[in-house]
Amino acid sequence: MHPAPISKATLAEFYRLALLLTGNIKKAERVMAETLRDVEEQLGELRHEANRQAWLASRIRERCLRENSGGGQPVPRLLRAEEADEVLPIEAFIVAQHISTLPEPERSALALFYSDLFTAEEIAMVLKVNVEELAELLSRARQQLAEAMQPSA
Amino acid sequence: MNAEGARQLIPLYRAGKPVDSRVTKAVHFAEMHPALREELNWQKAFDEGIVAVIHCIRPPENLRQKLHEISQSGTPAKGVVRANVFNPAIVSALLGVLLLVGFLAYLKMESAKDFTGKNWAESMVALNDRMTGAELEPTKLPAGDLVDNMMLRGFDRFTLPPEIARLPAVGWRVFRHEGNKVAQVAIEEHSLVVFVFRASDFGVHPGAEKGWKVFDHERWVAAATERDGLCTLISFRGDQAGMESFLKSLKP
Repeated sequence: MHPAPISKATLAEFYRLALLLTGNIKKAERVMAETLRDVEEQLGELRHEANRQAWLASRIRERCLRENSGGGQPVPRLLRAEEADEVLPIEAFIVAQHISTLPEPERSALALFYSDLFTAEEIAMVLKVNVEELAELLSRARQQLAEAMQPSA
Repeated sequence: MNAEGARQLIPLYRAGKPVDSRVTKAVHFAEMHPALREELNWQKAFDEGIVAVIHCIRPPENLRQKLHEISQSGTPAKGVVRANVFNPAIVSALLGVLLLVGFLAYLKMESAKDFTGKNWAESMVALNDRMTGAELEPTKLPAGDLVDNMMLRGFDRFTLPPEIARLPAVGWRVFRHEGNKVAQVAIEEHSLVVFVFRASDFGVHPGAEKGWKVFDHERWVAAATERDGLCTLISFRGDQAGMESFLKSLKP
């Protein structure tokens, strides 16, 4: 059975997620492309749209983490050099850079939580933690992000 | 529900996101509790700010088509590649070459590591960690075209090496570091942060004629060059291999 095609809005959410997890636009696009290609068949096996999204998020996250483990810190490359009209605002540039360099699993928790696609229960499922542990992760992630973005005294 | 129970659940709350009844109760409890209310309000404001910024990240209009193209072009002939990679003769030869290249690269990196005033260069790179982005003025100009902007803010004769000058900038500023003026530019390519300053102000002399001295500082990698008395320092989060590769990709 073939699932309904992923809507443009959902695709955009996954795109942001991959971008926040890798901090690198080329990597994010490659992760998205390869994941969608590889999991197309399996997606049809899931009956509910919400589960499909959570499962797809798991696959995208796993691949992002594999990409990041390739060598040292990920090199952020959030802006597209070849399309000047799609320059991100400077705030997005900085925030995405900070999120992409948070430790795991805090980074994934926050990136998934700030996506409009998932409930707390679904995020906990993706991260293989319970909801109480997710709450702790989110609390810690917010603090880390706030500290990272704190201007110098 | 007590204060401790509510405090544990509040992090799961985000305005506009569906939550279960326990979290809703925790939020209601927090709104009546002076200390928790403050925490909740901070969290709400923080989330609101971050989400607004994240939503500014717009995927390309043709994302689906683009992903399809990447997917098609990125499919290697796996069988052939794997068969060759596991051939013992090829593996040995590859290892030999890699060792040799690694050793040569190590020697080159060691010789390029230090230069006069490197501590000042490192202190500028360290500033990146303390930036929020709000310090920079947004721009879409090529980095080399910011001459007027820099001049109006008191940094005269701003120039960049030509290989950097043509890259599109996203933000800029002039600030004082230890009393001396420094021009700073954020460039979209590689999320590069560039510092330009008078070499004599800080006594920074990378000494690489028309070339770049590459060095690490904490989680950043940087490269410095001095031309006509101006020192240009470029940096991004990454490692030396990433910087070498970036420098090679620049058109002279």
